[in-house]
Amino acid sequence: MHVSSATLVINAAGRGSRLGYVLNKSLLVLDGMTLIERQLRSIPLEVPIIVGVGYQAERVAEAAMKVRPDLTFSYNPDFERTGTARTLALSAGAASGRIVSLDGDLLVGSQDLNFFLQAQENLLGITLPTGREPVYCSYSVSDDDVFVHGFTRTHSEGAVEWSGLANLDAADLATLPNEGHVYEMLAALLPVRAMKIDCTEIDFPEDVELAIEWLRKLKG
Amino acid sequence: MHSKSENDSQNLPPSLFVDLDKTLLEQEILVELARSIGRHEAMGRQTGRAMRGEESFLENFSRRIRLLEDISVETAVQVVKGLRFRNELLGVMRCWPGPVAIVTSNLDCWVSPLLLGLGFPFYCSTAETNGVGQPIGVRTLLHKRGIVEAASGPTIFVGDGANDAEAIAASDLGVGFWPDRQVVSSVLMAVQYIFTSEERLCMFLRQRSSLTPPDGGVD
Repeated sequence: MHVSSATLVINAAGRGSRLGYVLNKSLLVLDGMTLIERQLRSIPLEVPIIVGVGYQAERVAEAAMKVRPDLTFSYNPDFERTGTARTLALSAGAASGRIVSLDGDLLVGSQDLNFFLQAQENLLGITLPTGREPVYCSYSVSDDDVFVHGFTRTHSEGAVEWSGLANLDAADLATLPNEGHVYEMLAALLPVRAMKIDCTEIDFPEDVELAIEWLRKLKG
Repeated sequence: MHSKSENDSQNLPPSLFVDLDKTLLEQEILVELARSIGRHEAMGRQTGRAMRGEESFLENFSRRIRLLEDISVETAVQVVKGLRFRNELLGVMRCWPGPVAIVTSNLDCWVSPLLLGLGFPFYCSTAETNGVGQPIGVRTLLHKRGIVEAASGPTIFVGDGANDAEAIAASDLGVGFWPDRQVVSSVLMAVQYIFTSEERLCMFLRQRSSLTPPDGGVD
């Protein structure tokens, strides 16, 4: 049976001030390619894509349209005072069925990304804690399936980190609070099945080197 | 800033307003008219400046009309009648459950031969003409925002250029359509969504109107 792919939503509206650059993080060049270009090139052509823009929207849209001819954009005019959840909720308004939410500063291995695009139920991406200021997940394991029950800033033994990747139902997002971060928005949907993914996220200056190293490992 | 609340007359189907050049039409009328007299490159440059909002629309529009002063009325009618509509978008408009109108800053003498047979109401600018009916200037320039603001109930406006930005901002749901993937800042700052594919735009509009796609399936 053919399973239609989810719509991919890239949340690229934020200022990314923790990185300390004046650029939108999506325009950050890593190993010769901007983040947005690298994300878009990793997505199969048949997957519909919505890019949520706000800060430096014009430059992000220009960069994105050079890579893919069939993009949709959502514009978050309140990007300065709202978080990623608002941008995601706006983008979800242009989609139907399942969506995969990918933060604009997150690079995910293509195998994992494709798995998320084909998933037909809510699914969260988790990873081993790596960066500064991680958001941890409390979880349980049942028959080899991992379920996330909550999000916390407090570290505990065996903790895993919320990655910024999720497969969700677009209709659910219209009803959830969207003032803060995506993980805060998702709290109402828990427990949700989770999967460990291969990824790298760029929040702070030291993450740039780690991301370049991650890309080199991918190239083998 | 969207001036009308989505709570306004929520039960009414939204009015759908659609720009003409490069939105409902695949081409720009003035560029195609200019092509018939070999002036399309100069016209394309001027049209690009207007679309991006780099100068006063009226001043730019008047200059573009003067570029076409050598075209006879008959030739102009022949050219505009040969222009191509975006058929999928036209199909969505034909099935739209609420009011639909075409809103264009272009001149009545050029758009009327094209739109009169289409069956939709349309709003346009009017031409100042010479003794043989050739346009020599703009008599009245349409302000698209006023059309949106005068509508009762919720509104959707679909457009592409800087002269659509105010109408997009005034509508309940502002939609940009950039098939040529040309960024127009004023449109970007006014919209909720921008589409670069006609298919995706039409899927979205059908979803917003609960229309069934043409093949009867589910998109």
